[in-house]
Amino acid sequence: MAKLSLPAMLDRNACIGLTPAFVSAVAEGTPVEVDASAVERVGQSGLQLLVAAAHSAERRGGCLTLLSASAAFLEAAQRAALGRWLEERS
Amino acid sequence: MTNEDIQRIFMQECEEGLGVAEASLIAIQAGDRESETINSIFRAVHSIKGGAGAFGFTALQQFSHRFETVLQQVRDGDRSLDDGLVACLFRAFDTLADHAAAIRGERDTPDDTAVSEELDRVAESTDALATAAEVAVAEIAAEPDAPAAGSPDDDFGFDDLLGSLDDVDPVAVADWIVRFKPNAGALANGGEPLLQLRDLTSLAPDAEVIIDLSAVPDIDDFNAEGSYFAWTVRLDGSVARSAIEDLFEFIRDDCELSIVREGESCAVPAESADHPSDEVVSAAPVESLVVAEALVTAPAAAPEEAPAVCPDQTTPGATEQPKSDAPRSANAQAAPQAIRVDLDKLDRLVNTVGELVITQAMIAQRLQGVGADADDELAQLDYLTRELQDCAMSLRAQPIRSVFSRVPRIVREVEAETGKRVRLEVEGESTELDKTVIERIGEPLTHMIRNAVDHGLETPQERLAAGKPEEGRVRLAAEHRGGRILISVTDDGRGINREKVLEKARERGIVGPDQKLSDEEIDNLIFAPGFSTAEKVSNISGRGVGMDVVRQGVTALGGRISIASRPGEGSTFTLALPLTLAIADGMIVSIGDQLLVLPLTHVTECLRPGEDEVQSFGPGSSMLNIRGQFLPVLPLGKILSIEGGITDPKDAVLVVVETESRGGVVLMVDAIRDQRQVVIKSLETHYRSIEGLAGATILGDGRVALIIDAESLTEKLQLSKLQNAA
Repeated sequence: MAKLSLPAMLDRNACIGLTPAFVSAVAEGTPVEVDASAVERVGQSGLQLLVAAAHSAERRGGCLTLLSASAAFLEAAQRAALGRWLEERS
Repeated sequence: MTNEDIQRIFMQECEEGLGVAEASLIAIQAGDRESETINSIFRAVHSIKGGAGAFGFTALQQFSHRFETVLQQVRDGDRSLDDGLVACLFRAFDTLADHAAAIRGERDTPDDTAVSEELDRVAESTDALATAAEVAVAEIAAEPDAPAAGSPDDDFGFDDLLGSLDDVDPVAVADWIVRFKPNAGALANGGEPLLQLRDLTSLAPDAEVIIDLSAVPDIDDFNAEGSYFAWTVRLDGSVARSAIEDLFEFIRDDCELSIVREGESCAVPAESADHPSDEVVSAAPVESLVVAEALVTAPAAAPEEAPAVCPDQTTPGATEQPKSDAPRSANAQAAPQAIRVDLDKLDRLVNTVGELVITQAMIAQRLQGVGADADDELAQLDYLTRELQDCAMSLRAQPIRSVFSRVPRIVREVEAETGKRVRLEVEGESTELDKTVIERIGEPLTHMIRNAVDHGLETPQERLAAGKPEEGRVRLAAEHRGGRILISVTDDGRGINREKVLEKARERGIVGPDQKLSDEEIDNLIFAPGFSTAEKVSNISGRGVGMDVVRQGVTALGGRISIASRPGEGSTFTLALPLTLAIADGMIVSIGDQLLVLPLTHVTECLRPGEDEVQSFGPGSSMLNIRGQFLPVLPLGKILSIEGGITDPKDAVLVVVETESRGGVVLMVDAIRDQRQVVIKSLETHYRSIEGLAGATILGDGRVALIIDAESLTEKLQLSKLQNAA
């Protein structure tokens, strides 16, 4: 199982740096756990990365689980209409 | 990007919008009745209103709203554009421009009472449409100091206040279906589309949001700088369309947006277009927002869906730019693209190119010194350097339109003050010249235009009596010629009254009582400091500073001004300006052990005089007979106090230069050493301004050479001659 932690600022620049780690984490189709407890700010870029990673993991027979999502993360996901999507992966 | 940056962009766009609006108004004045022309004014004013509201510029917002109301009536065909209304629109435009200048800190907030009342009267005269707007304006006016609800801190969360300003749609029954798909640009520079979504849903407490994930690619194809989400938002139909539109004002170019009433033919909500209905799931309400989600597991790298844009029902921006927006996605590469670049960066580039020119000269000199055969390579380097220089300078070049666009207003003002009637003709607005020149030419040009109308043109009665049309003609033109730009102001008025000019000049001691002057010399007297023939001082002219200021301003730019006037037929004032202030082609000459640079644009020929070609007229004064024309020889070394130079013109090299004020004059130098590009370094910046010198440059061997300004040199000598005679 691969484990990843999201940074406090999950903006576009952070996503550029994180993308290779997600590519490698979901490559094998094994479960991936993502710790979202430290996230203080997340925008469209961060949410897109997680959606892409989760859907890719699922297509490969694995799954992506978000752990301990912070209040800021939850709020952003709900604002983007991803509340239910997130519930299903928590 | 900080709020100050965003505000600065708003001000720039405000200025651009005003330029577009004025050009369209002028077209309308000339008879253009195309709907796109009035649309372009409406768009500009609408955008200004939106930005003003976002930044809390209440006065600008209120006034632009009034203006917009009338424009909307015209656009919708509720009233026709007669001469009276066009004049009213011009007055409104001028006031709007004043408001814009006020927020830039260039002037006080204008008193717009009279024009506002006029706009209200116009708006009232059609009716139903105007009423709601007036009520909204009255509500804002009641709280003039209240800040706009959307502060800059909320990242352009355009406020509800703006929404309340706009007319409520008479068919506000069905809900709005807003489809919003940000492009990658919306995420650049700290942009965050989730904020637009937040503000959008805050417009109505029961907003529904559906996210479309179909464009999200597989992680292997994922680009962190891309944008893959799209949202469809259902809003209560009572929300004003403009309130929705305004939220997207500043990212309109970076997103696909459609706003339609539910059930309208073009309403293609994301859920029905992209997903089967059973994939749409309603979620529990979160705070005041009801969220629904479309859970889609799309195939990897699903193609981007076509935007659900209906040409007839989208936002004004989208509706009114179908020709540019709709093809944009398909033909993005064909569309001209532009970016804003900090001027400091351009200046740095130009300076670096300047240093490169100097270094190139040093390398060339060094190679020649050691006898290396590198002519081909040096020629290639020279070519590339010139190319680079041209590119760098073209980046700083701007169309003169931005300066010319102020002229119609100046003319309107002077018309109103003098009672004269003027037909303004403008030509060559797209002529480009350096930004610094553009910025500094405004004031001289304003004086010239005011003088042309106030001094040049006769009153309508005088014109009729002289057999001329009642309406005077002022023609403003710009063109490139011989490495310079010529800007001319021509009027068909009375021409310069030379007798009166000479009389005034004698009265003021500028010319001696018995001194004989040519027509050209008399014309040039109007540039003398403190000279004016106006009978009385007015706001327009007659203070005796106008043309003096013009000449000083133009000379400071390395330019020249000349006059051609014919009594009873009119006058032409021509400014000859350098295209750039940074680099010039120069002739390197020597006097004694000093090297000097003569700008090639002034040089017409060089020669060693024959035995009988130079005639002496007393000590230190001689004339060159050049093909029957006698030109004064100026001993440059003596004038500049350079010792060791040749003193006899017969032994020297004579360089004939053309000046605007004195025609041809001859500069006497020892020898010609070289001819090359030189980088002009300002004396004013590094030392102080010196009459007769245009600046200095660094030569290939590292020596500093002064650049001669033949024009101001001859003017200086002429002035002292006149003063001595007087």
